[in-house]
Amino acid sequence: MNDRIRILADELANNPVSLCFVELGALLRKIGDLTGAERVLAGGVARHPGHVEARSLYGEVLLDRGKLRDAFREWSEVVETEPRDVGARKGLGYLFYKGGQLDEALEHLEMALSIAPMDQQVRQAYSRIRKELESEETAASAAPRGAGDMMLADSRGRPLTGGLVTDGRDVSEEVAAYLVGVSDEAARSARMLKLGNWIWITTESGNGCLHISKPTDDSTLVLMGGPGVRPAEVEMRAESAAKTAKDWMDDSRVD
Amino acid sequence: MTAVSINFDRLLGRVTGIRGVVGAVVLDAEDGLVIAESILGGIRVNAVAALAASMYRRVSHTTKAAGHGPPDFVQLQAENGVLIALPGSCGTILAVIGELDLNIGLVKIELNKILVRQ
Repeated sequence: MNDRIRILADELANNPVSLCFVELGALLRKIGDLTGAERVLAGGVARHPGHVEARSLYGEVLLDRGKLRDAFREWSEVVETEPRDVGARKGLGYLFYKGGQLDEALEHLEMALSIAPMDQQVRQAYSRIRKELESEETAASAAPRGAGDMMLADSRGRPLTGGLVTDGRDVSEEVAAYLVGVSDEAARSARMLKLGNWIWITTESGNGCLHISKPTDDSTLVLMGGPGVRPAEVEMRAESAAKTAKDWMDDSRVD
Repeated sequence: MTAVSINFDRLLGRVTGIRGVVGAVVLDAEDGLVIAESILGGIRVNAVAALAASMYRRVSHTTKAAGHGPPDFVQLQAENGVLIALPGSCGTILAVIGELDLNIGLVKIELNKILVRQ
């Protein structure tokens, strides 16, 4: 490999406009000479700005060197010229992923997959990001919100986080106060009827439904569905919300 | 046993005919006294009635506080079974105790039939 590098370096020295800079840059990168690879590719790209393959490779070297902004710029310019460049799409997907912009990352990887559907690296990255995005969406929909239809209360009848609003009125404190009695009664009924521990209570009325559960021993979670909201739908949301609430309680505790 | 309670017994018998239903009770919402019952196995009917009445009352406070009014249906889901309570006419509550795999939808239909005939 070193011989080949020497030959290519000589050729480039004798003919600075030679396209051998691409292979030389790739080999230098392969042996770990990232500084050399960057220098060669920067020079080559400056002379051949339309060489998409070289620019895509240059982006990879910039990424290797931790120059994320430069890599981003390089790949962005590549996809403007050649939208079907898989390397640049993969690179941009990775950079967006690193930046926490999962939607954008997925967009680039989807494009890469449409061009190279059998590329295992792209498939794996796509699958991983998709799962992360789905779990983020689940968490977002289940997370206790500032006000509206979900509230976590403590075991002494006080709202902890979230809130319940009905017809523009905050009913959190009143509901939280009554929840203690509901929770105690549910535990007593389940025990005396030999039903084991209670898991949840659901109520239905003309104005909507409530779902009450205990994510932890010292908290009660309430989800409220308005008129027309199906109790089974609220129940499904409540399962995710209970997990989030449990994590929230665990994180909030002072050791 | 009065004619009314005999009629209730027949209707409750239809509910207990549903797979997974362990028992059904019609009770007075105020004091939890049993008006009619159809309980299978060794469950104490008075306990079911008292607990269902108390449960319904407590939950009603919460739903009213939430602006939902009194509940038309309450389901307590536990590890080994369910307790259902819903209001009947003239201050009564219908309570059903069932196993884990109880078909809640079917129970609702049968209970609503009882409510219509009350």
